[in-house]
Amino acid sequence: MKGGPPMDKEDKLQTLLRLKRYEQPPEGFAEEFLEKFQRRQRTELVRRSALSILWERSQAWLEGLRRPAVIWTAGSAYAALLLTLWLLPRPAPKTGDIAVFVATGRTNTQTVDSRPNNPRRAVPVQHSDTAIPPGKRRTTEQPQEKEKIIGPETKPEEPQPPLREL
Amino acid sequence: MAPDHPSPQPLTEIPVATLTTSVSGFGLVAETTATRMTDGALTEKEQDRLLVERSREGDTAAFDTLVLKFTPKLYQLVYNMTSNREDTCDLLQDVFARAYRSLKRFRGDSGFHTWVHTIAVNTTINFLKRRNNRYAVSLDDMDSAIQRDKDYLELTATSDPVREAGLNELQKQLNDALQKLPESHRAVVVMFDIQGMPHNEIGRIMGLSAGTVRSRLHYAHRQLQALLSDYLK
Repeated sequence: MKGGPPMDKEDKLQTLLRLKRYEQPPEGFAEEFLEKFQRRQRTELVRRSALSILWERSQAWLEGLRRPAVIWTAGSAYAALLLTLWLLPRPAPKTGDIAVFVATGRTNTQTVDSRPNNPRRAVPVQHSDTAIPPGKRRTTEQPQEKEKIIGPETKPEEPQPPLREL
Repeated sequence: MAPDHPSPQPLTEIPVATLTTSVSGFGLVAETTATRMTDGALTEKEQDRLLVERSREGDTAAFDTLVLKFTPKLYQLVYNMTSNREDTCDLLQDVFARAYRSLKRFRGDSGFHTWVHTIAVNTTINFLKRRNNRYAVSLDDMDSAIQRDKDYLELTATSDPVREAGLNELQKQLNDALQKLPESHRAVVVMFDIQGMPHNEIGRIMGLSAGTVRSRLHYAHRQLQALLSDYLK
């Protein structure tokens, strides 16, 4: 048996490992294993809860939904819905809403632009020409210029006609 | 004019009985009908694909054929990773049950052989991680055919420690050494050295490149050489 060249460590190791192929289960193992497997499958089928069956069925249903045609149809419908919502006119804020704040002695007035495309854009502030010097209070004698309000003018409410008696 | 070769039989018309794997006993090489195929007949991969398709349609006999066909190969893989035959049986049950449940998700990009091996390797590695180092060895008997094996005869002729150890002691030492390897390295050694799979196939099963498989194999061999140094003199 010494005919071939001497084996090095690597060859000997691989030869030793190959010998593990001879470790074998008893004869008829595969058939017995299959029987056990079938029994287990049947038992699992019987023991399964209604919840797990429902879960499996819903998964199968969802898998059916994953077809490309369904995805495209659903996606297009969703996109159309979003576009419609975006294009619909939005409710405008109440016309003439005025934000007034006082800073450094000047009275500033801001109005809210009620145009539909940009409802929150602030209108440039116009300062009153008659600024009150610091430390002094506005008196009634001091001329007050009416603040200019930019934006849609509000109409005074017209008196409602009296209700007719029926 | 009649064609030279008969046209291949449609896959769906071949009865399962003709595809049945011969698994009487646990021969070293599981003999399948595929190894006796003539030109124009189904390859082993096509047979597997057909059986998978039928199993998906609810044909349990087709899945039974797959179980019978792959039990020897998967047993060898799992057994050599665990060194425990009871654990191997339990794990194999889990592997096939998982494969059956996931059959609808099997896309067929790789062969069924690769796919089911991947399930087996992952299931076994997860089990071994949970088990940590607490394991009891429960080994199968060595087939008496080893006494006629050319490699074994050569080893006993050239190595005194191997001859003196005897088969049972040698088997125990080999299993102990394998169990000292990290799980992922052990899987590579089992598939390459014991099952004779090529690097690429191991890489596909484990999701690694062939280079990484070679590297792990090199590292594992070095460790095994140190552990089995007495038998390698």
